[in-house]
Amino acid sequence: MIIVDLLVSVKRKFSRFWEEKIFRIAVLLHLFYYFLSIILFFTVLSEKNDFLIFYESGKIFLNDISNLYNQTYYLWDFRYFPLSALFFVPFSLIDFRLAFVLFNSLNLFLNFLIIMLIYKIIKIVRGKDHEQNDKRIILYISIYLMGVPHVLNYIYGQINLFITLFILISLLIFLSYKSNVWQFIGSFILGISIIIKPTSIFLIPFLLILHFDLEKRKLKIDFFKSFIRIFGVILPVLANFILFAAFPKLWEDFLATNFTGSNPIALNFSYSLTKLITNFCFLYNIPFNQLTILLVSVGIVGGIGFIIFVLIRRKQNSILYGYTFGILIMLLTYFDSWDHHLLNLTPLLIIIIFNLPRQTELLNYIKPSLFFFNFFDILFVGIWYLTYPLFPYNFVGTFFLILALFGVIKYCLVKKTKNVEVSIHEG
Amino acid sequence: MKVRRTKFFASITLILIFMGSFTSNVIALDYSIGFRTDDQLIWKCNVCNINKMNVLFGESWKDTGLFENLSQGKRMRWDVNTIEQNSTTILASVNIWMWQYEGSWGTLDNITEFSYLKNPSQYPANFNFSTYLPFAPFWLPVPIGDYLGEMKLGNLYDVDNRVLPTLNIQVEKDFIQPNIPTDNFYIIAVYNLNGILSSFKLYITGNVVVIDISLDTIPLYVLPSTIGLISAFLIVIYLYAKRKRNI
Repeated sequence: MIIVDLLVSVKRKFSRFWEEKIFRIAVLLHLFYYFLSIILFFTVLSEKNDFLIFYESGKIFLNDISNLYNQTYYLWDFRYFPLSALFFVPFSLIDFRLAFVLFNSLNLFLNFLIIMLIYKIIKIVRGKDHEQNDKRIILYISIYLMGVPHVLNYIYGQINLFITLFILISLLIFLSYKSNVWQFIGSFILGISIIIKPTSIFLIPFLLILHFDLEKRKLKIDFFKSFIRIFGVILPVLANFILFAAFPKLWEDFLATNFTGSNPIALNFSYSLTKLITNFCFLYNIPFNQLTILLVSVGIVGGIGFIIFVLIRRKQNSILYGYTFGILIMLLTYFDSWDHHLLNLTPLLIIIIFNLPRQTELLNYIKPSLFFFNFFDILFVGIWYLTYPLFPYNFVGTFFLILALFGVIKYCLVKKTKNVEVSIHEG
Repeated sequence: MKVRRTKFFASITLILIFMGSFTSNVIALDYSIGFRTDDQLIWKCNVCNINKMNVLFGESWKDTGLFENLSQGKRMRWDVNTIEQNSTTILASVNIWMWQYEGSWGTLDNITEFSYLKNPSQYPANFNFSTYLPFAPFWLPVPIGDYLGEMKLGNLYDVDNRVLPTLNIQVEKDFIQPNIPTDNFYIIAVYNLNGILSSFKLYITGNVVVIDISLDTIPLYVLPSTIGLISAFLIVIYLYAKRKRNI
């Protein structure tokens, strides 16, 4: 009965969205992305996509798990936690082409769940000075659906939407329920997202309920809730260590693939700060240790993010900013940050736009970043190919990540946000 | 509303039918050579730590092969003589001027033929391009990413053609013969879309570069693109900041 009610409610909501022209255009454009990816798969990219790696990992997980990180079996390196391969086992049991189409259809379905979650979360966190009708929410949901990173996500057969879905479900739970059981469930769901792909691993510290009151100069910590959250998120991740313990070679190979192999050195168009540094070292033959650069970047960017989060002046909905910090830190500090990873960030930026005061100057940091990531980032990947022999830095994406990070930091620290006229016309 | 919905589903059906026509296509790639007769290729050696190379390989490492007389600041020139292709083989004959400092190239040092199988999957399993320096070829058939992807290379090699066609080569101590090399080293060989080696770096532990060779000519569009990118970025940021300040 509850499910029927839910479906009726979703259908009603969808009909409301459909009344808006921008949403209809966004859906058609999104369907175009989906069909384009399938056409490209069957014509030119059937042997050059990430899904091929996931598909193989599912097979190897079943038949020869100790060789899960033996990269000779893969087109490109398989880097994720071993249990993520379990997720692909059902797909690896069917024909590869059919599996790709099914997987991308699942991705398409996930996107519609994601927009429903964005809608639901915005309704919870929306500031009082925002328009009370749904028109503006539908506009931003449409912007999300029109996002160019979806094209690459579909073409590669990537799994970012699963991460986004789990992040948003866990966020919705934390924003809606305060009981300990729900704290555990919310963090456990986040833990599942880390198993699938460790993108959200830097969200873990932001689950701590730790706050330093700048006025009273007093540190408050909710030990029990923090413990429940950390336990909940680590539990699924720890399950991987059962496999690492059973197959020690897996652990060695996992570390080599992710942190010490030659792959993190290679020149590429990742927009992460760490990659800009390693590309610089590569170009100018500066000896470097990729793991040290990673740890220093995480220490500096992550440390700043976490300290600011502890000092946050507005406790309400702070988890939203914690999650955004976590994703921004990941994109800025891990070696490989690609265009399709932005699908983990853009929904959070959209939600923040609705949580911030309607005309705050902070939107000058968040909105340009959202629009850049959603529509223009891919352009700079193309430009990188033109400049890389001389200038191998995809720095524009890094700039907008830092801009968004600065906006979030400012929100956490300022006593009162300054209002300005909204400059981007939103219809 | 009903008509609109019918149109929508009709469009989806048409797209699906369109897609279906692609599903049976299996494309067999036709590999070829990415350069032409009379093309000139010049590589420059940016770094060559001769002492370290002597320690790794013994003093004879630069007596023969493509690293003959290699040292920092020298260039190697290839002039493409002939290109031949048949149903089984791709072959290029080049005049080679071995590593020398800038100035007149003088008489060529040798004429060498390089050949590859037209079908990369016909190479035996665990194939190594070479078991001695430079370990990586200076050119490969195109499309290079697919060609490397189809070869069943030995454990030395890890092909990464995701962003730039790259061969990561990891060589362990004593691989060539006992005590040669005296330490582990690895090579990152990056190729351009024409299948020509554009960067070769030999590293030892600690990511210290011992040899760095690069293609001497950078494509014409690189400099204007770089200047254009940086200028456009600065102008946009300046204009945006100015506009915001004026509001």
